[in-house]
Amino acid sequence: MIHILPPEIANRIAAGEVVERPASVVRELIDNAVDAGASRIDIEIEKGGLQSIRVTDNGCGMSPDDAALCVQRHATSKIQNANDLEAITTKGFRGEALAAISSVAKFELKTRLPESEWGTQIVIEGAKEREPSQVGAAIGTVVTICDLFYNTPARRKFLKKPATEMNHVLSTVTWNALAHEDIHFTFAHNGRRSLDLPPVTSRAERIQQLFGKNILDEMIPVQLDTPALSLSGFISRPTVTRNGAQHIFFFVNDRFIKDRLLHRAMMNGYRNLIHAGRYPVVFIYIDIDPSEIDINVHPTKQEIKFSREDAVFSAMYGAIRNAWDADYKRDGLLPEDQEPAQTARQENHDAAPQSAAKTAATEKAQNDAASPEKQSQDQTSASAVPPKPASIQQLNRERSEGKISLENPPAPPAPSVHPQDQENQPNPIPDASTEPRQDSSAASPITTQIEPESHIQNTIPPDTSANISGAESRLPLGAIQDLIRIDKKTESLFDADSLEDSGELTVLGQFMHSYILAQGKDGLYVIDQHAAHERLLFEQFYTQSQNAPLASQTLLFPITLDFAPDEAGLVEEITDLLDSLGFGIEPFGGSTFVVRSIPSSLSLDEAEMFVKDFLGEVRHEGSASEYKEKALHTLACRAAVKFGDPLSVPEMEGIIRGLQKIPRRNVCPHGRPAILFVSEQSLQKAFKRTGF
Amino acid sequence: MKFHALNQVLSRGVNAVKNAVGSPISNPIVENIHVSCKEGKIFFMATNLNLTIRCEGELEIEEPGEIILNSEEITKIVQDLPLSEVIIETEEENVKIKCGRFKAKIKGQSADLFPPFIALEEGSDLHIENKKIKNIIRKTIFTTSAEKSRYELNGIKFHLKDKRLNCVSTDGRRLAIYSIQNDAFPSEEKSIMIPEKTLEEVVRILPDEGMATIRFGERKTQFSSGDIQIISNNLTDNFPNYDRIIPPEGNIKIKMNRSAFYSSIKRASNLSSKDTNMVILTFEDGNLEITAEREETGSEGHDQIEADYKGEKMQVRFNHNFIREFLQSLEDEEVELEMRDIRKPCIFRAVGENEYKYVLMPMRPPDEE
Repeated sequence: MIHILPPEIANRIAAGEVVERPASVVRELIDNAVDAGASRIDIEIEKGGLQSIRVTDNGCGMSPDDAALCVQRHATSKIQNANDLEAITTKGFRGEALAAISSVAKFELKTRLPESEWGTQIVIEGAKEREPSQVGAAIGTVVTICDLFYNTPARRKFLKKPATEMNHVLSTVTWNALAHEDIHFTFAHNGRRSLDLPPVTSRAERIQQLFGKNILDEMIPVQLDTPALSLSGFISRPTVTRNGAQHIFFFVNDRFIKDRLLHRAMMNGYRNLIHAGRYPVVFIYIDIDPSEIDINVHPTKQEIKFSREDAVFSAMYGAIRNAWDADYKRDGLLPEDQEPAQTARQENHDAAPQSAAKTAATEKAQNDAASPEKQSQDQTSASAVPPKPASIQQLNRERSEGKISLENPPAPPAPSVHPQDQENQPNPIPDASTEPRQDSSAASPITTQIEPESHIQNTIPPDTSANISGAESRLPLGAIQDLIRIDKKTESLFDADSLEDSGELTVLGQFMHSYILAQGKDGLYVIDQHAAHERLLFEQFYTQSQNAPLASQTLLFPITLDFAPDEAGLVEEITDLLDSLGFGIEPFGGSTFVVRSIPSSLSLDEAEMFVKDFLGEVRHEGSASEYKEKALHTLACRAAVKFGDPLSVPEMEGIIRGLQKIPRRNVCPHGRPAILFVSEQSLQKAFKRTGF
Repeated sequence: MKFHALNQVLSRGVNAVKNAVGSPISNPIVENIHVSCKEGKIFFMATNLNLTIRCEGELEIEEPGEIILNSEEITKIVQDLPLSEVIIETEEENVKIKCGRFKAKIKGQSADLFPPFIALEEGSDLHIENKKIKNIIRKTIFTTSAEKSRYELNGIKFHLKDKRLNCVSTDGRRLAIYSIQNDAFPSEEKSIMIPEKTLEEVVRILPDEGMATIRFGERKTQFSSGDIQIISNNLTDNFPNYDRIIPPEGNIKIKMNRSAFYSSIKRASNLSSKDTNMVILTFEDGNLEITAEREETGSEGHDQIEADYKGEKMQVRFNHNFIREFLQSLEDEEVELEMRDIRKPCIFRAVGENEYKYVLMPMRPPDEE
């Protein structure tokens, strides 16, 4: 017998799609709060949200009639007609969230319009709706959910431990907080408030609120405006990687999105910079005409369809590549910017020679601050610092005068993240690193161990762990804590380095026929000769190939290559690309091709292998520029000195001098570090020659 | 087996054959040197199954016989023997060596399982002076390809046609050809690829004086000169059609002093990119400028030599190794570069030399897309 299901069962089925777990409830309720124009949203959950969830907003509220209607399925104020679906500007639009939630949980809603004296209360339990009643309520809406899935034991069975569910909820809150920096978010679990994020004026500040101030030290801003879309955000330097994609955040029109296209484009931007299987830390915000996207793909609203995928892909890739270029310029790799960078460096050393750690951090901050002005002013005001670097004494003085706040203010609003306060602050970053040394004893082993290390640019000042424990407005989540510890290499003697501040390097010798040892201004540099040379060649090939085809040896007689029929088309497609690499290749009928010239660095066999291997890669995916980089990478790898090759001093000097001229020199194209640094200070400390 | 021999006879024989000793991986027995005595002669033989070398010597035999000896052991013993008569006596597999006051006892093996020496019975014979054939090989062997998968290029092509012998080798970027005509050569056409390794041995072992006979068989080639025989399997002949590779006469001919050119290229090579090995030759009014750049290090070098070039400024790029190796193989005073176009293969040769040509392909000019 076929019959129409009663609405409560239909809702319960629909709820399965919309409401998977407590985090889904939180997502829907935050979406509603944001759409209601709230400037503050408080999220409280008990036992991972399994016991209760309450989301309070100070938004526009609802009239009694609307309140009664909102829990009906397909009841929404957010869209009026089908056309609205074409260009969704609100977070919600499906009109089924509250209906779905109320069908699988004990549901209570209190809402009040600003102009009303009284609020309205709706209580639903077991899909039975009680009469709306008039109650006292604050302006805005409070939704309370208890016993989620109490009537759907099957679903409840699939829920994870409260701690896991809490993490999901927290992630949801984090995404929303990142997307709406102008909204005050709080989050409490089991009555303990672990997040308090007062509104800030830039995304950078919100990122710092969530992940710690230091997070931006190792990140560079990205910004790209195209007619189709505008893209901005922050990406981590290649030395900062995670082993999962969990710290990659994409937002499209302020909505957190998990999208493969964006992910691939972003990872392409990191190609040859980070090791396979490693992921960067990324915050990317895309603003795009709502009619160009379709968010109505999945009830969770985390999937998206772009009508112009190509534009989105190339924008993402281009933005990241541009960001690298800007970053290297800032690092003084391009002549016009070299002068100021050096000056800054000099000043730093003059101002606080006893604290190289701070100067490094300051300089970094300056660097970070310098280009955002060109790139994205509003994004980076948090990291903007006055040009003059401050000594520790100065910082301490200012701190004691109350100009500099503690890094993690216990109560909102946090002065340290307010831009107007910041104008008077020398630098939030040295502030952060100064903090623990003031609070924890200066003689504590951790601090002493760390201090010489922070001399190195890539290192984040040593205070992170101390800050985590004291963090009120910091995410308590383990997964995010390890993000805070981004690039925390403070325990090791050696550190990845990029020769930024090395000064003139003197080659000391070669170790094991594999490593170049060189003395720099402040310590010893250990350079992986293969990785460094590979990077060097890669950059050379890359630069060369931008201008003209690579050096190519014409053959006396062509070699013929046979391909599978489906490969032949590909070969024709990439003929131009191959040409720019030094391959003269022409179709010879059928799926046979003749090679008339090859890169002069390759033998005939290598050339043949190269084309075939390369084709294998081309088959999989990617764009022409991606192929080209892969190809150059392969060429560089083949041509580079190998591990175990004895090198003469001039050869080693050649590699070092070459490295100092190129960007991205601190990692090989596989993403492994190429240069390690051990400071004189850390050696002294290791030999216990100093009394830090 | 028992014999008396001069120590030079032993060392010459062992040294002649030692490079043909095979790898124990293919067949453990070929790791040995075969020694046999009969009819007043001693024969040393080694084979790796592709290449067999036999060398004979004269001596006084008390008792004929044969044995195989570990090549490494016997080579070392023979090398360090005192200058005196050597007496070697075998009893089953035990070998006693006496030389002056030196005495040794080593283990040999029965020669029964050793591949027998089989001389090439049939083929076209070509008689040529040792000096000549060695010179031909020296001037063509360095352009063979070392790439294992290009086995068709791993040797020198010996092409006999119309009483002319062309010895040609190429690695795809350059080609060397030595061509000699002799009415005494057989008139049939033969085209054979001889592996590089065989030819290296020919150059090494054949005495400078005397005549060699090269017998081209179907699957093997035999070089004999005096008491030495070298037999080698031929390579499959997939050699490209070299006639079409050798360019016609060019209208640009430039003479240079060989040793000046060589020194200059060598100086430039120290500063050229290790990756591409490129040097740029710029010819202009009686002058050749040689330029190298090492982009890796930002180094560069310039040198100039005289060259009897007249005409528009012309720039050609070459792999310096390819020029250096050619110039190194010559002893002549002057060399000539002959070309038509900077994109076309060009010819290097010693001035006045008609038998030997070195065809070299320039690197692709930068403006060519």
